[in-house]
Amino acid sequence: MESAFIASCGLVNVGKLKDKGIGDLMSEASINAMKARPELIPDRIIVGNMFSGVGSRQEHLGAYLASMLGIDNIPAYKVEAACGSGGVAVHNAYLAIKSGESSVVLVTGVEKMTDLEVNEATSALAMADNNEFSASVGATFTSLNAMTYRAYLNRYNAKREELAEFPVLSHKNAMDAPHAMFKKRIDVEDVISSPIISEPIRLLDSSPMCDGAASLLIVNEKIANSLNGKLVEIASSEVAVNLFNLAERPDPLEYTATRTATKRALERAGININQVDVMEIHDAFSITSALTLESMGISERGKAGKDAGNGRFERDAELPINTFGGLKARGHPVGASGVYEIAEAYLQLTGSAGQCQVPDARIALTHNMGGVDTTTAVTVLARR
Amino acid sequence: MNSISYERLKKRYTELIGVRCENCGKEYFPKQVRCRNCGSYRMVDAAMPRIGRLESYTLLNVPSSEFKGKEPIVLGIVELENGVRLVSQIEADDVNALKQGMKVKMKLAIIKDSFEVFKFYPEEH
Repeated sequence: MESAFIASCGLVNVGKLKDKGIGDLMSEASINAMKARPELIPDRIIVGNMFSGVGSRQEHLGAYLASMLGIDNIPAYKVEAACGSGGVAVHNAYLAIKSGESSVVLVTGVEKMTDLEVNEATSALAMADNNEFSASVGATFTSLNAMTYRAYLNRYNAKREELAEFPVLSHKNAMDAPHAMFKKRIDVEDVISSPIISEPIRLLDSSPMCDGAASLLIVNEKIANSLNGKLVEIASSEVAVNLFNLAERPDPLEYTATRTATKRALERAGININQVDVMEIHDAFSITSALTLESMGISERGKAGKDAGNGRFERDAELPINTFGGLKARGHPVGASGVYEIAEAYLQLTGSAGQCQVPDARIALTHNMGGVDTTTAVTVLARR
Repeated sequence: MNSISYERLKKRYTELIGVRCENCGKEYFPKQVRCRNCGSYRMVDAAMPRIGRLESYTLLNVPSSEFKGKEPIVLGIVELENGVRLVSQIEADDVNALKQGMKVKMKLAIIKDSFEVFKFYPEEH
């Protein structure tokens, strides 16, 4: 079977980008990746996106992007798995390369959220759970996560102050990230006193509504061998699903898709979690960071926030996470976030992370969820 | 949700109709077409019990556009007597009086426009 390598990445600076539509966003990221490797022309384009139909009244993003890039007659299509769309799009690119069907795949994750007002965007995000029996009775995506957060606080006797360490860390790391949305330090008190969105989730526990796009060029080994410089191997790419309806799960605090995909990805890459030098995890809310790290077995149950407060996940510590600010502070243009994470891992592993660099990073793991761990994509990447 | 889709789901919303596996007896809400417990495809409509316990809850201040102006909304995860769990609005005069594990009962409520669905309230309410 073929091996898959990332040859370049392209990023749009995340923000509320009033001057950029969905076509502008995905084409900007794509040409940034392609101009870094002018000798490569994609033979397949995969777009990761959650709700362009609702957010921009635009579907059919594969053909749209191919046409803008002036590439005709290739397979080009969109992949959707809610906020996990980006990670699942990269998974599909990986499969296309591994199978030998493609040699150069362009993957672009994109989301245009800010043409919607906040309640409309809230409705769009709620499509990640069961519309007929969740959104239709008034539940939003934040409220579902809030119910896991309350159950977590009760079960483990944990404190909001402990979990608030995650957004504090993300904001600190984003200070040095050129493409991050927020360049503002916050502290625990800011988080726990910020406005309530869905109690106990506060505004600063939550990733922002924003716009963005990120791209990767992924190639097979033969082409990788012909290229100079910065290459990263996709050592493994795994996707798993949890029960679709959050309430139906035997234990809503168990991220079984995260646990399963992580275990498979590590096994497939032939490593254990202690060999990972840097991780980008899906910190859509403070509670998702905690449940992710605990489901991966990195933190003890109920203790992830304490680990964060003790500095365990800082860029110069044992296991750096969200080194460019994560979803919370780099921003969470939902269908693009999984691609941003993998692009950030590429920057780390090629020594291109600037002020965000983790010294001598060799192996990275990225974690991207659609819904509340409903579809989870985990990718292990290795410096070549 | 428009009136056509409401009509399609009305019985499920107002009578709490889910399904029961004819082979092993496990019940589900909303409906499931193959039993996760035994693999059977023999699933028949069944009314769920209308009593349960509150597993978790939240007070929502930023609702979706369909519920704009109805905030704050109390939402909960309710575990019914048959073990089925679902998301529902919770009727509570004082959200601070809600407690994990407290007994709740179902009623019908119009939660927006003419949208009448199940809603749970604390038994001592």
